[in-house]
Amino acid sequence: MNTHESLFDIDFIEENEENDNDNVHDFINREALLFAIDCSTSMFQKDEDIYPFKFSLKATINFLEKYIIQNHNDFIGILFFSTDKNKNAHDYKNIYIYKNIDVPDSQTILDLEEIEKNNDLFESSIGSSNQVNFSEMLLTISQMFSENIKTVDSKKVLLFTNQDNPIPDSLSKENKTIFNIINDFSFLKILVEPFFLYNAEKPFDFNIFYKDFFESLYADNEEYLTMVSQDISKRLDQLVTKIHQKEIKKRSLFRIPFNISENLAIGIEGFNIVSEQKKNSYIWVDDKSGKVADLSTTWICHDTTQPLFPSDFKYSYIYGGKLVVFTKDELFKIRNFGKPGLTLLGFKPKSKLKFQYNIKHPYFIYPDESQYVGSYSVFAHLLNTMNKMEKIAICNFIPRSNSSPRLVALLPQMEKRDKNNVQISPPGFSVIPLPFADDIRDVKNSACDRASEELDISIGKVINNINNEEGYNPKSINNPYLQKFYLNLQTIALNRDEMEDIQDDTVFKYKMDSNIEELISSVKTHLQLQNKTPVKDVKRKNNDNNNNTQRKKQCSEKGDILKVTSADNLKSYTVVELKNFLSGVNIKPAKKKADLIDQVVEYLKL
Amino acid sequence: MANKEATIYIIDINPPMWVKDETTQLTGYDYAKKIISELLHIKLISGRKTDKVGIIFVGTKETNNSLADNESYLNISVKYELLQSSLDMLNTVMNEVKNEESFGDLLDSIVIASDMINTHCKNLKYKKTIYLITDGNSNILNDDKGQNESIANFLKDKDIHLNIIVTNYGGDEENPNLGNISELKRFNENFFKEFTEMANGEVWSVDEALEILNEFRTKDVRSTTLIRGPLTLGNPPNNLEMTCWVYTKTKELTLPPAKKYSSVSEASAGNDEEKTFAVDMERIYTIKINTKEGEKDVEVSPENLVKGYRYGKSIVPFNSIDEEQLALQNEKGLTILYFFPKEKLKREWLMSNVLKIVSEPMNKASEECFSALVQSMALNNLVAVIKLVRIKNAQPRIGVAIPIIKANYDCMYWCQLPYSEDYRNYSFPSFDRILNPEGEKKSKLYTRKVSFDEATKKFEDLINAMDLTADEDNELYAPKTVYNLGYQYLYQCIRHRAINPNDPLPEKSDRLLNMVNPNPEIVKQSSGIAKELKEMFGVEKVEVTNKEKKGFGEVVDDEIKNLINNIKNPETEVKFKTEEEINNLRIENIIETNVKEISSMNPVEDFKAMANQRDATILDKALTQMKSMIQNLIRNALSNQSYEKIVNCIKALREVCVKEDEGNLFNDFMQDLKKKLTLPDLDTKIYIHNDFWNVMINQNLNIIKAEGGKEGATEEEFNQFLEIPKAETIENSVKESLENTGDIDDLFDMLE
Repeated sequence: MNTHESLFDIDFIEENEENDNDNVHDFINREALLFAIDCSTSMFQKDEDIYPFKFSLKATINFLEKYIIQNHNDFIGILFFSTDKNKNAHDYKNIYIYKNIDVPDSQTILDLEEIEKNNDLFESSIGSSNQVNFSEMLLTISQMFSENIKTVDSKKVLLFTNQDNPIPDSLSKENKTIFNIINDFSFLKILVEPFFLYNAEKPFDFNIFYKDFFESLYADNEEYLTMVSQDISKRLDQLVTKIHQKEIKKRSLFRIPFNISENLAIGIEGFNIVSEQKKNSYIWVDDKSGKVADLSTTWICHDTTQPLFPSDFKYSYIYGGKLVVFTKDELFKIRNFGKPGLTLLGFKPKSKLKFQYNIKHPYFIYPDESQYVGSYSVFAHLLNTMNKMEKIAICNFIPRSNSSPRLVALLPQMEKRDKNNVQISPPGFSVIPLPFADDIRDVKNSACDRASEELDISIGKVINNINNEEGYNPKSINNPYLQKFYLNLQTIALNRDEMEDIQDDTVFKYKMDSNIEELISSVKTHLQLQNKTPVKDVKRKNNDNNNNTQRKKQCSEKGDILKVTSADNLKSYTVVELKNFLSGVNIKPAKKKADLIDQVVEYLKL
Repeated sequence: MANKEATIYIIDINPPMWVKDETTQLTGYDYAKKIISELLHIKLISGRKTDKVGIIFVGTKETNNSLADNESYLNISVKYELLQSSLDMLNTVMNEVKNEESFGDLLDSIVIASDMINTHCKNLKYKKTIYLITDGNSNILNDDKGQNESIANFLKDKDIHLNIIVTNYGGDEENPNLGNISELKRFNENFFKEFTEMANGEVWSVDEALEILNEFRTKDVRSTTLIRGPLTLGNPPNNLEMTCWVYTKTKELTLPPAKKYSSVSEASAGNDEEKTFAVDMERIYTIKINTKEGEKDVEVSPENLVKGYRYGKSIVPFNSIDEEQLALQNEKGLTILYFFPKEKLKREWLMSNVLKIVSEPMNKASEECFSALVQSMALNNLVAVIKLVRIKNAQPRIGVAIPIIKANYDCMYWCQLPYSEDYRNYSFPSFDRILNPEGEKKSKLYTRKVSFDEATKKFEDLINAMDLTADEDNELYAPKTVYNLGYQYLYQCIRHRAINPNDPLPEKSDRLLNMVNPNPEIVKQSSGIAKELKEMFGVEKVEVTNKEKKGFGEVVDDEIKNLINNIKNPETEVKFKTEEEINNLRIENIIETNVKEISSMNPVEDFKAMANQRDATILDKALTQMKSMIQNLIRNALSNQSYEKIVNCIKALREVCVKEDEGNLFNDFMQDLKKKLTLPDLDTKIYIHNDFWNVMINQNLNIIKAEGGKEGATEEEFNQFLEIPKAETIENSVKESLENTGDIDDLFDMLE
């Protein structure tokens, strides 16, 4: 979707874009994802409070819930292996195709939730076993991908397992079959992303099997190989982050040369790391039949009422009350300022990149060896040296043909890893589009009254009390507007009768010291500041939301939760009330109502 | 570009300047106003402190200049010394000047102006300009040749550029206007010409001057508030609430979109004055309904449509009332969530344009509180996370605000930060094994041939050689000195076309391009170092010779994907993006003789270009590729909008086949295509587009008849071709096609 417009034009543009969106839905750039989940008995044994199988299922469900909303053109399949029952075209034992690769539907989520909750259901319908022929499993996977007739951009397997040696009898290299299959995988460009579920008690030896596996799978793809070996997470809880990373497709925006000088160019590839996620695009549906309406647009000449073909168009601007006419070719010529590329103009100290020199989101660039040999090495050294000297580079940037040039600043960004060696910031340059003189407004403001030094100090105390030393972390704040929208969509689509509540991260939540609160009051009185907006507190807000949902269940005579005597009675409480109760007794509330009731039941020992 | 500037406007207000021209009813001073307003307008918009402007009036009653004694330099007033341009100046010129019935000498004024500039600039680097606006109808004391020369030389030596703009200019030899100008004016104009030649200056007519002035004009945007609302700090009732005004500080100037213009109307008979040339858009929404006769498209009126959002396979209808009611509720205004240390702010997370927040003026309590907030943030090195809701229930945005302390007021700059949904936590391989590999652990991508230190040293040299801030007063490529090229050039073209409708587009001027092109000086200093770096790292371009490895079909797929990517991700995209325009994107790149491959972007052009090379091998290749291209386009057809392109391809193929006497080749291909389109099972991807067959019928895309001794089909075959095959023939065709898969299928087998 369009992320190009600046801040406040969004609503306007969305309306206008509707016609553009209509025809781009069914397009390619699709991804096929296959969740392959190990069902061997050890996956059902509790590891540090986590059942690996349940964890895998939950992760899959969470993934699907988000994915289904955001990437509705992609394909998902689910495969269980080491199962008791089998379901596949060749009657291979211990392999159970749960969902063929297809556009996911809401039923899949509901079904998985059912399995996740109900162990017996899984036991009776699929079951667990300790055997599987790994080659047959891989063969099944490759067949699942090839049976999907639609063309896809990338094919990925998310492999959840805790077995470090799936082929115990015949050790890897000798086993020709498996390596033939792996070669097939590379040939078919099927990527495998492992999620190894293990812990300190049950170590996982990467070298027994998977090292060889990935080295042959990614023999031609050093980038992936490095990533797999770097990303083999050590603990379950870190996997959650990693799974979240996969929810968004890594998609490059441009591959262009970086002209450092007439004599030296390297290849770069551009990505969006920070870019506004918009509400989904919509389509028009006939209210009565529920059918999707197709839009057809025809162009008519106003003067002759004759239908027009695109070749009949010219283009005009109004200038001094008259139409100035250009042909399409001329318009292209006007916009063409040379071949796509990033051209280095020179360097400046980092301090020259002022805060206000910003107009839109940055891009991120990383070297691309496929254009120039040596790109990685030159890029890495340039990055390293610029960072050391605290410099930015100023470049002329033409991302694709017919885009007019813009100056950008390259800001070095060094790799950062957290204490578990998980990458939190990748190495590369942020490409910051600089404003032109035309983009900078000169806003003149009149002089203002300044406060007494005393007041400055008081406010200083207040803000120091609300100081978050950690800084801003994008992961900590969800967009409440989107979350609410997704939730509405999900609730309606999955036919859930309870509307859960979203947590709004964009409200003031800081716990101030009481003396600071007093200080604020005194400043307020001193300045005679008045509140004009209505006072809102958290409680009232929740009420508002519930009214809006129109799905609120009427509860009769609700008393203190503590006095409830049966689980059935708990059902009359709203999710919010249950959550508040649980938070009140220091239990982290679950998401779903049924779980919340379970939690309360457990707490009250009912 | 980034120079400091000193500019003096000399305006002649001697009595002749106030005489109305009989035809235009404008005085010389009216023209002067026009020119000065343009000149000042540009200065005012750029608003640079280092850009100084002075104004001198010639012909004032009083005398007010530093050179005046009782004999010379009389009746000349320096109205403004060299200052940053102000609205005041414009006001004075526009409204406050009148005929003072006195005469001043123009040459004197030039001396005064050059003296002012010289005193102000000393020997510093300035861009120095004098504009003199006159009608040339007043006496000039210029009989002393030696003195004239020394004045001119002074200007030349001090690098002061003199522009004389003459109203009703008659001095241009190509455009003699000598009939109605006075002897004195002609004499003066000659003097201007001689004098500017000596001084390296220029003489302009008003029209020329106005045209040039329009060159780098930037959109005049009045600053209006975006929000006027509360800024809250703390939890009610323990909170501080100020009233703030929010302005736009930066905003991308986008190219204005062009309006469609009907060339059909242009070609039609009738009076051009009465034509609108407009193109109307008609939109029809249809749904498919099953009837006895099969599926039918039925039109639905837009009132009966509701929005639907996709949820996997399912579509969730949302009427707008639902959507509104279920959306997040939010009050208008700004909310501070917390503060954090300035050094924790990541510059690369700023993701929008920048807004400026000030307190509501004339509201003492709010002003003081806001000022205290800004001051204490600055003092404590803190920045604020502020939520901003523009209007009630609008989408809230989260951003960071930094304190800015101006000379006489305080403000904040605010920029949007990413929510978790906006932040993609992609991971990329580390460079450790490229920079400092230990022993064996070198990456395959390691190409350095020298030591780490040596390479680093060379990069340091490069960075130092390409320092853009070497001259502190003259920072190169500073944002405030670079104009949007696309925008400026578009307006140049529009202006040019408006004045000269039949001329080709003007060239892009160096002045324009130099704003974003490498600086020759810097290039000179750095290109040697870059060359050495290239050696050190063995950088080599990867020639794309292994194209054969990639199947032809795959190339097509990729191109289509790119095409779609372009449509789907218009981030860096420019305006005018209708589909057919994107299809034609590469037209200008095609050099007829060089095309060796048919691309899915411009298949017709590529194909014709190949066919026109009159080389049998290339022609064969072109025919084969075109055939597969057509099939591939059908397979990948996105909607019936692509059909036009396919039709054009078939037409082009037919045309060339007729010309090259390859009728049978075309006919075989078409017969095959017909089977695939009309019979299921042969090629499912083609068959799903079986409605294309109707397009062929409508377009009368028939096979080639054997005529005049050329290859082709019989009359009977020709007449039957466009009929939909009957059931009995289907069986035969299937058999046939199973036996004889034809060269096209072979080709695809090979490629896929």
